[in-house]
Amino acid sequence: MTKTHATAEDLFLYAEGLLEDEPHRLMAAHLITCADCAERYREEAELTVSLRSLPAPTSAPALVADVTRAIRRQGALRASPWWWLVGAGLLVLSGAQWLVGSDLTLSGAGAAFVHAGRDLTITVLSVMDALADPQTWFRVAEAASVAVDTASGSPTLLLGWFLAAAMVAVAANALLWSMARRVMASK
Amino acid sequence: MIEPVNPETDERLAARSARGDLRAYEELVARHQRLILRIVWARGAWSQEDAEDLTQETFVRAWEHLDTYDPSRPFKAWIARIAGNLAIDRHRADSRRPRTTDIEDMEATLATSGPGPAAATIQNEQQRELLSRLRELPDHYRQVIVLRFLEELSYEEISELLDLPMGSVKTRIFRGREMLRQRLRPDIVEGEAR
Ligand SMILES: [Zn+2]
Repeated sequence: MTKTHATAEDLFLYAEGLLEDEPHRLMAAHLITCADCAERYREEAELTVSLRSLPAPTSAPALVADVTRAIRRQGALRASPWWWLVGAGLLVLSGAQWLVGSDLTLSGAGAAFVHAGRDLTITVLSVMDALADPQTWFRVAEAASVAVDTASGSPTLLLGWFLAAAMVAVAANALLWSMARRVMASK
Repeated sequence: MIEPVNPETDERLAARSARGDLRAYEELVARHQRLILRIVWARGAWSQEDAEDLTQETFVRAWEHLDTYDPSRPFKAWIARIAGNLAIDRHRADSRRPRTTDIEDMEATLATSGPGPAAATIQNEQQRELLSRLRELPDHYRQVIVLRFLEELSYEEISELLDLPMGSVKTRIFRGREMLRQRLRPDIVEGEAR
């Protein structure tokens, strides 16, 4: 390498410190004796310095906060209105459960109100089933059975309520769907 | 750059993020935002503003797809790949309509951007020329040059980041530099009106 001029690639590898020990030593020796290669090496190094001084984008102070905000916003959007309805339905259901489970003595209008509320809840939840979520069915049945269990404790009655709740849910669901279809067909 | 005080590895932070821990994710964003800014910049987001937009988009998209991240692989490489793909898509879409952002825009935004040595304005004609030629380089050459000489990553890091063998990284950087040098030489540049 001391006799022949250095290749462009070797000069680059030398400048980048990528040559092995021996070729590196030889290149260093050649650069001392050869003005041509020394000049080419200087150009190589200059290009590196120029590139390093280019104004690339710097860190953006607000970026972390912007990313977090964007993620939160998207997360909020992803919670569709249906899930708010499911949530509301469950809330009503738990309220009804509390009324039945507590030692309040209800009669007449009070009891009718609670039963109507529970049936309404079941209907609301069956609408949620339009989302094709089997979990909804499970919750309806479970909630109804829990409510009845608290009230009476009879296994037969429990099974009866379970079936009744499922039937009401299916019926309400079918009714709502047929209504929706009729509305859409008339448009 | 200040060393992160938090000793948690990227990969553990990513695992926490995947479970919905936004605080852990903020740490990851803080750690890698500069790299991502420069990757998207190298891929054609030529103003600070464009680069910031794409960087934000990269991190939001990565958050949504954290379940696909394999913690046995470096997080840095994973996020870099998302950024690269996103920047290519964006650049492709942009090239179909007339470009409005160019070096002058970049100059303006950099002149008004925050402190830091790299935030300096384009100092002279030579730098402006270099930036124009860098911008003209084929994508795969430009990216490795930016990672090596502007982001100052090691050859090992670039190899890992781009999932390329070391030999290919060296060759690409060498060829990219040669191409750049030829374009910078006024006697070789043909058909230039200047
Ligand atoms: Zn020589």
